[in-house]
Amino acid sequence: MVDMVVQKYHRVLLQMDAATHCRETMAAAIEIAARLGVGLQGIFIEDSDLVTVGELDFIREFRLSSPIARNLDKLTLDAQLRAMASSVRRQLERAGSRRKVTVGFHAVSGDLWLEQEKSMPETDLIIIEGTGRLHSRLYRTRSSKRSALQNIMRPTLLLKGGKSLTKKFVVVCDSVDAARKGLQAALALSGTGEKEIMLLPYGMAAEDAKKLATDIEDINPKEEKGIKIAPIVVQDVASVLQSIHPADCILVITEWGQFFNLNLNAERLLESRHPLLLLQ
Amino acid sequence: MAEIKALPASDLCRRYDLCALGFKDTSELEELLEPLGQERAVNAIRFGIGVRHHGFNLFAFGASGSGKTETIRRYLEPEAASKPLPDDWCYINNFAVPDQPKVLRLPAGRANELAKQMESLTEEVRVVISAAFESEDYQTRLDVIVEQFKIRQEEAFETLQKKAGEKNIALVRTPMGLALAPAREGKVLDPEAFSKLSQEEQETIKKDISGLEGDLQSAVRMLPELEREQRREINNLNREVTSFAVDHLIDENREHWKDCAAVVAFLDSVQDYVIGHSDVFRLSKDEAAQTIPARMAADFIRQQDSVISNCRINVLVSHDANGGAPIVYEDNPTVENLLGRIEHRSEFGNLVTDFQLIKPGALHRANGGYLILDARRLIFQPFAWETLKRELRSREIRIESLSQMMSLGSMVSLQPETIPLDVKVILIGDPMLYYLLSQHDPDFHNLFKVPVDFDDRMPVTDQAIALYARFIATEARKKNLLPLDQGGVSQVLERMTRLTGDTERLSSHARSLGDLLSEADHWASTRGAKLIGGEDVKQAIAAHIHRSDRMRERTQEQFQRGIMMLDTSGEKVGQINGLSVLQLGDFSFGRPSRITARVHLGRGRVVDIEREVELGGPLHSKGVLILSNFLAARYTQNKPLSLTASLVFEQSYGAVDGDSASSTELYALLSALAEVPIRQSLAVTGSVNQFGEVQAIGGVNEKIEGFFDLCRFRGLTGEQGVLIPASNVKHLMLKDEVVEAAEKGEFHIYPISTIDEGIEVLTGIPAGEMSADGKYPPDSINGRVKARLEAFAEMARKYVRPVSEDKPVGQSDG
Repeated sequence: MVDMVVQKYHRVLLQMDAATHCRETMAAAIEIAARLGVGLQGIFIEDSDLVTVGELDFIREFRLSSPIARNLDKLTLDAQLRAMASSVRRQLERAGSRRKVTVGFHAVSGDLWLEQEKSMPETDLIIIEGTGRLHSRLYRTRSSKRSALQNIMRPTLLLKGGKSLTKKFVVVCDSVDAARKGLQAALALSGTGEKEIMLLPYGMAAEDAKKLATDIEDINPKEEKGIKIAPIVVQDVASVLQSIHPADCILVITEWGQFFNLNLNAERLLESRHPLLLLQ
Repeated sequence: MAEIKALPASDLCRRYDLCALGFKDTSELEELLEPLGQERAVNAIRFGIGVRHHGFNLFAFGASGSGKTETIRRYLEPEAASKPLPDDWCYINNFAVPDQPKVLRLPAGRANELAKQMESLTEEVRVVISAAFESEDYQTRLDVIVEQFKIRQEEAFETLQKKAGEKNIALVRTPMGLALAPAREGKVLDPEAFSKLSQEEQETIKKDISGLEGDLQSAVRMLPELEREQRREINNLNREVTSFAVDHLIDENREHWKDCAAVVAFLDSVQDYVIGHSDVFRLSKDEAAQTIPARMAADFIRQQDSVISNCRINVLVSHDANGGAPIVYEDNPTVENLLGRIEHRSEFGNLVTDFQLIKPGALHRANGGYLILDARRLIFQPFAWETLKRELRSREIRIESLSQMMSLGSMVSLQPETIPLDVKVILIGDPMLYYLLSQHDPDFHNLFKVPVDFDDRMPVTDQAIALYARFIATEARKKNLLPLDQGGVSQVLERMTRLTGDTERLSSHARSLGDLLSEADHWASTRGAKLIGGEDVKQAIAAHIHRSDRMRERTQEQFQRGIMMLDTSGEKVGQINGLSVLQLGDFSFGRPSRITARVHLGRGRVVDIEREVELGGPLHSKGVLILSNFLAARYTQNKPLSLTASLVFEQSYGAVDGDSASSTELYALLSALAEVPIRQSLAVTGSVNQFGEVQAIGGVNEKIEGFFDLCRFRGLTGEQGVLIPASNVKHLMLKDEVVEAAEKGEFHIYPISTIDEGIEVLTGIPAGEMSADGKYPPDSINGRVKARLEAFAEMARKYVRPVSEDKPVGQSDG
C-alpha cells in the first residue's frame, strides 16, 4: 500500500505581460491561491520585443479602441507599460483583499523574469495566461510562450481565456508514479468539497495499465470520492483530446518530456481550450 | 281703558297627555323606521341617490346633530347593496414609458387574484431563468458562439501574421493595441540591427510594414463589429433560452385570463420585458453575493428586484365579491386623501418612486359608488374643494400632489394614467355653508344639484305626537337605554318643545334627544329603576342646566347683592325693566336690565347712548329709529319734534343688539315725556313698529324666567310680571316654578298687542284715544305726551329769530 500525501503548495506566481493580462485571469489566479491557502506573487513582464518596438521610430500602433493609427515612441510605450503595471497591481490587490489572499507584485523587463523565477525557491506553482484580451491563442508570441514553458522546471498552470477553474481534472499519465503525482497535484488544486478526477493513461504498456488499475485503490485516498480511471489507454494527443470530458476540465500532464517533445502535441494542447497543469 | 288680563297658567306651558296612545312604556311601541319630520330631506335623498346623471351630487345641510349622516346612510346602504359591484383597479408598469404607469381594469374581486398570480409567476420566472442559464445546454451553446467569434478573430490575425511572417514582419501586441515591427528569427529587430541593414532593405521593410498596416487596420476595425455581432448572438441565445423557460409559465396565466383582454395584453408585455431583461437573472441572489464584488452584487440584486417588481401589479382598489357599490366616508378630506398619493422611498439618499408606490384615495375607493364628505372639513383643507370639483367635472381621477398642481417642486415623479370616475358625492354641512357656496361658487350648482335640507322641528299634531313617542322608543333601543314610561315620554316631549321655543313645534334634533335620553337613563339607573320616568327626565334637564348656568347664577347674584341696580317694586318716571337674553355656548338665559329715558328741549333727536358709544348693534339702532319716528308721526305731525331724548341700558358694559327692547324703550320715553311713573314690578319685552304695534321677539321663555328668578329671590308680591308681545304667547313653555306662581296669582304674564295697551298696564293710566279733531284726552298718557311735545315745539319756536329780522344775504354791515 502506498501512502497518499497531498501536495503542499506554499506560493503561487502569476506571470502577466501586456498581451496576456486580463481581469478574469487575475481573478482565477486569486481563486486558486485562495483554494490552496497560499499567497500570490504577481509579476508583470515588460516584453523585450515591446521595448524594442518602442525604439524604432517608424512603428505605428493600431489601438483596439480607436480606428486611427498613432506613431509609437519609447516614451509613450514606457508610460503605457507603467500605467498597465499599476493597473494590474491595483486589480490584484483588490481581488486579493476580497478573497483574503496575501498579494505581492513587481514588474520586470524582458526575459529577466526567468532568472527571478529561479531565485524564488518557495514558488511551487506558476500561473501563465495562455490568451489575451483578444482571445487569440495563435498570433502572439507563440514560440516564446512554448519556449518559456519548456524552460520552466516548476509546476505550471496555463490558463485559457481567464475562465474560472472547475473542480474537474483529467490526469494524463504514462506511469503509476506519474499518476500519483498528477493525482496529488489535482487534489491540492481542487481544494475541499466535491471534485471529479479522471486518470487517463497515455502511451502506457498494457501491463502498466493493469497495474495502475490495481493500484488505484491504494493511491486513491479513502476520504476522496469521484476519482476514476479511464477504461482505455490512449496513444496520441488526438485520442487524449477526444477522451477529455467534460469540456472545461483541467488537463494535468505529468510526463510532458515525452508529450511535449513532439511539437505537434504541444501545439494542439496549447490551442485547446483546456487549462493545462504541467508537472515535470 | 280696556283691562289687559294676565295669561292663565294653562297658557304658559304645553302639557302632553299621552293616555290616548295607550302604552305603559316605550318597550311596547314599534320602532320608527323613517326619520321624523324629514320628509323633504328623505325625498331629496331618494331622488339624489337614484338619479345617475352627471352633476346630481347631494349637499345635505341642517343643524349640527340633526342626524344627517345617519339618515343618509339609512337610505344609501340598501340602494348601494342593490347596485352592481364596480370593477377593480390596478396600476401596472408602463414598459415603454415607466414614469407614466398604466391603468388595468379588472372585473370586481379579481385584482387580488391577479396580484397573487403575478407574484408567484415572477418568483418562478426568477428560478427558471436562473436554472436555464446554468444548464449544460446553454453553457455549451454559449461556448459555441464565443468560440466561433474567437476563431473568426484568430483567422483574421493569423492570416495577417502569416503574411507578415513571410516578409519578416512581426505582429506585436502593445498595451493599447497592435503594431507591426521588423523581425528576424522570431525576435523584433532592435534599432541598431535595423540601422545595419542596407538602405534598400530598410526601405523595403518600411514599405512592407506600410502595406501590411492597411490589413492590420482592417482587422482591428473588424474587432468591434465582431464583438457587437457576438453580443447580438448571445442576446439572441439568451432570449431564446429565456423564452423557452418562461413562455409556458406565462401561457398558463394567459389561458387563465383569456376572458380579459387587458390582462392578456399585460402578460404579453411582461413576457417581452422578462425576455429582454433576462441578463439580470443569470445569477441567483446567493450566487451574485458569492461571486461578484459586494457593491456590484448589491446593484445586480437591485436590478433583479426591480425587474421582478415591474412585472407585478399594484392593486389600487379591489372589491369584496359579496358587496354592492361602495359607500366611503372620508373623515379627513385632504387633497391626498381624496386623490391618492405617490409615495417615495429613500435609496442611497435619493427619493425614488415607481408605480407600486401609488396609493389610492377616497375617490378610488368610492368609484362606482358613493362618497360622503364633511363639507366644512373639505372647504378648510387647502385646495381640496377645487380638486374635488375638478375631478367631478372631468369625471376622471388624476393623481397629483399639491406641489405638482402648483408647479412648486421639480422632483421627477410619476404621471399615472387617469382613471374614469363615476361617483356620487354627498356633502354634509351646515346651511350657512350651503348658502355661501350657492352664492359665491359658480360651479357649485353644476356639480351639487340636489339640496337635502334637514329640518330640526316639526309641527305638533296628534299623529306627530304618536310618531314622536315611537321615535323616542327607537332612540332608546338603539342606544340600549331603559324604556321610558308615559311620564318620561311626556317630559321629553315638553323639553323638545321648549328647545324649539314654540308650543306648536317639536324639535327633531337627534343629538339633543339622544343626549337627554342618555342622561335620563343615567339618573334612572342610578336610582335602580327599570323605567325612565318623568322625574328622571326632569332631573336630567335640571342637571344639564346646572352644569351650564354658572354665568346665570353669577348674574343673578349681582342683582341680589344690589351691585346691579334693578327695582322690582315701586314706580319711577322714565325708568323701566327691560329683558335680554345671553347665549353662552348651548345655554341661554334671560337677564333683566334697567332702561332709562330723559327728555329735554332739542332738535328732534332720540339719542341711543349704546349706539353713540358703539355698543349698540344695527338692529338695536333700527328699533330706536323706529320709535323716534313713531313719536314724531303720532304726536307732532304738523310741528317739528323739538326734543332731545336719551335712552340707555344702565350698567350695561357689553354690546347690545336686537330690537326686542324697542317697545321697552318707547315706554320709558313716553313715561319721561308724560312724566308718569312706571311700575317697577313689571318687566317688558317686545319690539315695536312705526304704528305702535308690538311684535314678537325671540327667547321669550328665558327672558320671563330671568325676571321671575329675581322676583322670587326678592319675594313674589303678586304685583310682579312680564309684558310680552301677544304673538309670543304660542311660544311660552315656561318652567314649572313660573307656571305654579302664575297659578297662585303671584306672577303675571301680560300679552300686549299695542303700545297703548302696554303703557296702560305699566302706568295704570289710560293711553287715550285720539278724538275726531285729532286730540287726546288731556289726562291720558298720549294727551300728556302730545302736550309736552307741543310745549317743546313752542319753546323751540321762540328760540328761532323771525326771518324778517335777519339781514338780507349779501348786504354788508357798513
